[in-house]
Amino acid sequence: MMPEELMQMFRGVKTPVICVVEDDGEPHASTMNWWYETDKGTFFMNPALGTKKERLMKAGVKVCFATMEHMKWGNRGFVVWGTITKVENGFLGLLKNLRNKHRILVTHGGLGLNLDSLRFWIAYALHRDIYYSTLPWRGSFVTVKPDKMRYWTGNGVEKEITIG
Amino acid sequence: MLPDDFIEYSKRLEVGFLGFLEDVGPDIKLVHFEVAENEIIVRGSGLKAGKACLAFANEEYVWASENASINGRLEKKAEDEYLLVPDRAVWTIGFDIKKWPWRIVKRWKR
Repeated sequence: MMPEELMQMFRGVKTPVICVVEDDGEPHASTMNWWYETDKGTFFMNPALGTKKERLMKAGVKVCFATMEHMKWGNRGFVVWGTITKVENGFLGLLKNLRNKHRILVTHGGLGLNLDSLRFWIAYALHRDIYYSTLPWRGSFVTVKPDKMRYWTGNGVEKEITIG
Repeated sequence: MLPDDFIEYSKRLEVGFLGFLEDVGPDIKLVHFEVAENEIIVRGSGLKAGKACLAFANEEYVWASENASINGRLEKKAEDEYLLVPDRAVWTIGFDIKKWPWRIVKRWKR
């Protein structure tokens, strides 16, 4: 069972995580939006389709991700070692994961489904610097089961738990 | 030589996430870092030499997001102090959503 202080952290910390996966013998790190699914005890992430992280994040792959609140030393934070258990794509994936998509964008990201979000999606779909699209249906919906976690409660205390 | 604008950019961001591979899978150590022209000083405990990837970010989502990752080779310099010799770096530039962004991502390769 997840300790209450960790549950509070999952509800309160809205800073993105840095996620590391293996890329042909090298570590590949990138920033990811996330959501902890309380009822399932799993993490949810939403990489854009066509990115390196999306290509690497397949079912059965080990991942490690971490964050520290506001990206400032001394705050609450955590590291998770886990395994990808499910990956869904495209329109069907979006339909099945609409609730989590909304949580990542709105509850965590503080963004609305509005004109600014539309401008962002268009910019990323058309920009010369970007070789992938962040349009909502051009995404991958990834579920991670945590195996082990290390966390900091913000008062200098470090704790570690193994999840059975 | 890492670009000057990247060195300046890195000074705004505080916590470094050093990714590397263990036998059982990927791992991350939280580190202090300092970016210079040819190398990056990385300070933290439990680090080891070899292939590594340093990432750092602000706390913003989408258009205001600034995040960078640098792949390279980690070399031991002193106790709890290493040098990351970079091979390639990629970083995003936050932008004003009301204006068309002329740059979103910059890339560098040795």
